[in-house]
Order: sequence, then C-alpha cells, then structure tokens
Amino acid sequence: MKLIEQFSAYLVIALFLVNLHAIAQTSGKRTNGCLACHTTEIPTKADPSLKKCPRADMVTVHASADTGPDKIVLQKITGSPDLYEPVLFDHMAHAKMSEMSGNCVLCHHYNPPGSVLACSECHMSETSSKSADLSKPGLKGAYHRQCINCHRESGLAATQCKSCHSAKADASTPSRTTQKATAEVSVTRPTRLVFNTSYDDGKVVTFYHNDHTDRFRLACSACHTNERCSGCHKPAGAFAKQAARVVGGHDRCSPCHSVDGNCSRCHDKEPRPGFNHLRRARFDLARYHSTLACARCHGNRSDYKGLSGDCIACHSQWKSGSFDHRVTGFGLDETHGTVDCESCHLEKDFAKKPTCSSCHDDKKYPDASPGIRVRSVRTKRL
Amino acid sequence: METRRDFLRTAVVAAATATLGEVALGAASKIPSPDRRGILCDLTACIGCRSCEAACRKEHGLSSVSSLSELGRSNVPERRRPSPDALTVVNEYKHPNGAGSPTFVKVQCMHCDYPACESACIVGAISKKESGPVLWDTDKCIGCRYCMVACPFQIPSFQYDTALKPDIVKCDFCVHRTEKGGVPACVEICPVEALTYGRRSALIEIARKRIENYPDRYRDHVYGEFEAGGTSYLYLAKTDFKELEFPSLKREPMPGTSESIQHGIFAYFVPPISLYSLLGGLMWINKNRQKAEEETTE
Repeated sequence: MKLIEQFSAYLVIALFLVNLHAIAQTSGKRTNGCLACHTTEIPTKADPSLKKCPRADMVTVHASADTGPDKIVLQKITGSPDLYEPVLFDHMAHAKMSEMSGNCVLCHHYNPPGSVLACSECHMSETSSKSADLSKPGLKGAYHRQCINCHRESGLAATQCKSCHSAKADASTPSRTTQKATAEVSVTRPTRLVFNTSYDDGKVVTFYHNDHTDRFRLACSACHTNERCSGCHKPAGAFAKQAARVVGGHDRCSPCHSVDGNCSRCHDKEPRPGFNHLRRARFDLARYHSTLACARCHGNRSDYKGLSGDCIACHSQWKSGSFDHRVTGFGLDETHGTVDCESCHLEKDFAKKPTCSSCHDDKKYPDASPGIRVRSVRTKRL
Repeated sequence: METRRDFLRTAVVAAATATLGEVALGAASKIPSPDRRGILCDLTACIGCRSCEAACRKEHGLSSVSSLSELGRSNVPERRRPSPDALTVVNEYKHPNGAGSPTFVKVQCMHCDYPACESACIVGAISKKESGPVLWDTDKCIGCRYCMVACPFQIPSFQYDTALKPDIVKCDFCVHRTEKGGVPACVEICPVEALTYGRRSALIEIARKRIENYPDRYRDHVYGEFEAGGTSYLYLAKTDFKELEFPSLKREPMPGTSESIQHGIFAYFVPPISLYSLLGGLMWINKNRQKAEEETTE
C-alpha cells in the first residue's frame, strides 16, 4: 500500500515537471520574437548577445502636415532662475517645409511604428548627465539641438536667445506665446540659373526658377524633395556667389520634361531667354490669360499641344449676339452689337486690328469707333 | 592636509629608502580606475554660446565678467588658451569653405589618465584622482611651473600678476560639485548638451555609437580615447582634429618614456656609484702619477 502511495506521488511530481517543461517550451515558441533582438536562441543574463538595435531602420512616420498640431507651446522646461517665457513653435509651418526635406523624420527621428511621438515622450526633463541614459539628451538639449542646428546653418541668427525666447517681464519683446507667429524668415530664390554641362554640342542649359514657381505655379515640393533648410533659407545674394551646379543631372528635369532625343530643346551654346508664350505659341497671354494655370487651357501636363487661337474654341458661349464685348475693354454701340464677329475681325483673327471695310468704305479703325472704351467688366469665365 | 614641510620630510625618507635600492614606480604604471568619470564633448552640437565659460567663471569666482552678454563674442575667433581668468575657453574655427557653419572648440584641462604634469611635478602637487580629475594642491606647489612645460595641451596657467602667492590655475573638473553627486558647472549649463558627464567607458561607447549611426556627421575618431594614453575629456567632431588644432599625440602615456629613462638611470643607485668610482679612480691614478713624478725629480 505504502509503496503504491509513494509511487503515485513520484508519478505526480514527474508529470508536473514534464508539463512544466512543455509549458516553458510552448511559451517560448509562442513569443518567437527573441531573434529580433538577440543573436542566439538562448540569451543569458551574463551574455545577452544583443543585436545592433534596429531602431534606426524602424522609423515609419509618414503623416501629412495637416494631421499634426498647428502651434505648440513649449512650456515643459522651467529653468532656475526662470528667465524666459515659453516658446511658441509653429509646427504646421515646419511640417510643411519638411515635405521638401525628408518629411517628419527630419525631427521625429527614431519614431517607432505607429503614431508620431512628441519630443517629450523620449527626452526627459533632466539632462543626460543626470539621468540613467547618458546617450539621450534631455528635453531642453533636444529642443535646442533640433532648432539651432538648422537655424544656425541657414543663418537665421538663432544663437540669439531672444530670437525664440522672450524674456520674462520684458516689455520690449512681445511675448512669443501670444503673438501670432509671423514668417520672419525669408526665402532666397534664384530667378535664372545657367548650368554649364558636359554636353559638347550645347554646354549651356538655362533654367528659369521664377518661371517654374510663378508662371507654371509648381509647388516647391514638386522639385525640392530632399533639401537642406539652408538650400533655400540663406543670406541674400548667396546664389550669385556660387556657380550653378548640376545636381542630379537630368533627374531634376526628367519628371516633367522629356530628356530623350532632342537635346537642343534645353542645351544651347548661349543662355536662353525665359519662357514666352507669345513667341512659342503665337498667342499673347497678356491680360486675362496670364493669370490662368497652364492646365486650365492645355489640360494634362504631359500633353501641352498647340491650341486653336479661336476664342470660341474655349469660350464656347461667346457667340455673336450673346457675347458681351465689354470684357475686352471695349463696349460696342447698339448698331454694332448685333454684327457678326467676322465682319470686323477678318478670318476670326482677333489679334489683328479690326477692319471697317466690310460695311463702310470711308471709315477706319480707330479713327472711327464702333463703340467706347470701358473699364473691362468681369464676366463669368469660359 | 600635507604641507610643504611634510613633503620635505617625506622626500628625505624617500631618498633614504631609494639609497637602499628601492625604485619608486612611475606614475605611468598606475592603472586608472575603470569607474573613472569623463566628459564627452560633441563639437558637432556646440553652438559656441560661451555659457560654459560664463558658468565656469561664476562657479570658481574668477572674474567679475560672468554673464553671457558681458562676455560678448568679439574674442571668440581668437586662439585663446585657458588663463587664470578663464579655466575653459571656446574658440571658433571657420568652415574650410568659408560658407558653412563654424566649429567651436571648448578648451580646458583634458584630465589625462597618465598626466604629464603629475609626472613632471617635483613635489607631487599635482595628482590624478581615482574618479578622473587631475588636481593641483596649493600647499605643496613651489611654483616651478614644470607642469606648464610638461603638459602636451598647454593647459596649466600661472598667476604672473600675483606677486606674493601665485597659483597654478587649471580646470578642476568641479570636484566640489561631483563629490556631492552633481555634474560640472559647464556640463550643467550647456543648452544643447554638447557636454555629457558620466563614466568614461560609457561615454566612449556612446561616442562610438554616434559615429556608427551618423557616419556623415562624425569623423571616425574619438579624440582622447587613446591620445597620450587616454584623457577624461573626449571629443567628437566632423572635421579632422588637426584642423581644429588638437595636438597629434601617440597612444603612449606622456610620462612613460621620460620616467623610464629617469628611473632607469638611477636604478639601484648605479650611475652615482659608477660616476664616483670613475672619478675616484682618475684621482687615484693622477695621485700615483704625481707621486711618481715627484720621486723622479727628487
């Protein structure tokens, strides 16, 4: 009897141990993530055999500027003595600019997958020298490094404390937390860049920056995607000093312009004049058309073909009878208001001087006028 | 506290023991504590604001000029050395292209692991502490200024304008603060945390990691890790340290060679004994010759 009791007790213990082992094994398998950080299957406390932390490759912050906060008041740090008011940080403006410079990652480095973390989530209020983690600057250091590094590079005089901080109880500088953040940072833009390329038959490529930004209305981020802040924010005249360099070669232009085949479209022996719609398309954009976006008339960007010079090709409702001639700055009198367009504008060429000879033998424009000049009236477009 | 008299007393005793054939081990043979502290100075982060200079002056009561606005920026581009008025100074080095941002270099005592000044000091007024700092003792110093000559970084300065009791002045690692668990004044004030105070071994690890993570930002060189046997101050920079006028030093501790020669030639009292026996021998030969000459003339 006693023997059986003893045996069963041993059996229970043995079963328990086997179970325990099994549980340990399955739980180990279930997590299965050890090798993400460890180099061996069985890391020990003495030798954790850690891999290089993959944090640097883990950054996955891709958010649009609009989803982030607009303005942030940095007020977590109080110095002793507390000299300064909290700092107002225009997050939206910086987030939008970051689209030209590597996106959110520019500031939100080491952001693990998921939501975008604020600086204070990782950087503590005490300095690294006083905290357990020496490698990570404290919040004050992190803020200063993040801001000053770029601002210093672009010559924005941020080494002056007062360019960001307003002193407490100092009436001379308005409090930055209450005042509306103003764009006191100027952007230096070139108008014309002349590139000297290595192409023998036409070394010179002329690039009109102002045409692309003003006339073609390209957003900065359409071309500038991986810039340094100082690329655009720099003291005036900095562009003149440095010779224009071809960075990236054709890659800079090829997203919009075809770079295969006809080299002479861009390459020339001399610098070229800027884009002129009248010369290129024989259609003067002056007045109303100069304010329109190219695509408004030409449609899709890849297909900029010549359009008909006829007004009616676009302005379909401009027919004799319904057309209000005053939009041209010239109001027709009652008699001429009903006359067919082609009677005065021969062959529907509206660029040419109108003629009176279709009806009147002895009259000549502009000596004889079929109406009066008026201040052009805005009518519904198209 | 030891005084000059104590030193002389110990010196006599030491001389007596040395004659008995015991060679005192040089400072270079001391192995520094693995737990010693250091400061990592990241020159890529430094903005040259001179807050550290101001804080240092204030902490040590050195000069009435201790606010940033009073310090100004006019002398930053000069090449300054630490002086009795300033234990640490920040110098500006223009970008080689002229257009880029300048590099600022904080200069102060490097607190060497094997200090040449300690080795050169004939009265033991300079000593390397277990926790890292190299300290100067006013009660022992006789003002010989050997330490100033010995220092490869030209750090110790002398109060030339003090007539009666001039001091050797240099950075003291703010021991009065660190002993109480604090950090040096310059480290505490730095607004960009270009300075990190901590265990030297941990700082080297951090420096290596930064170089690894940002190879474009840092040159693969931690100045002070091996220079002159290692220093407590460690520097990271983007440019070559030669361009920032850091001395190019070998890995061997500065006192190593000089001490081995000095201690070697006096080992077991051989040179004095051989010198005196040589001179004695010459005298004896001359005396014999004289005697012989006198005998022949007689």
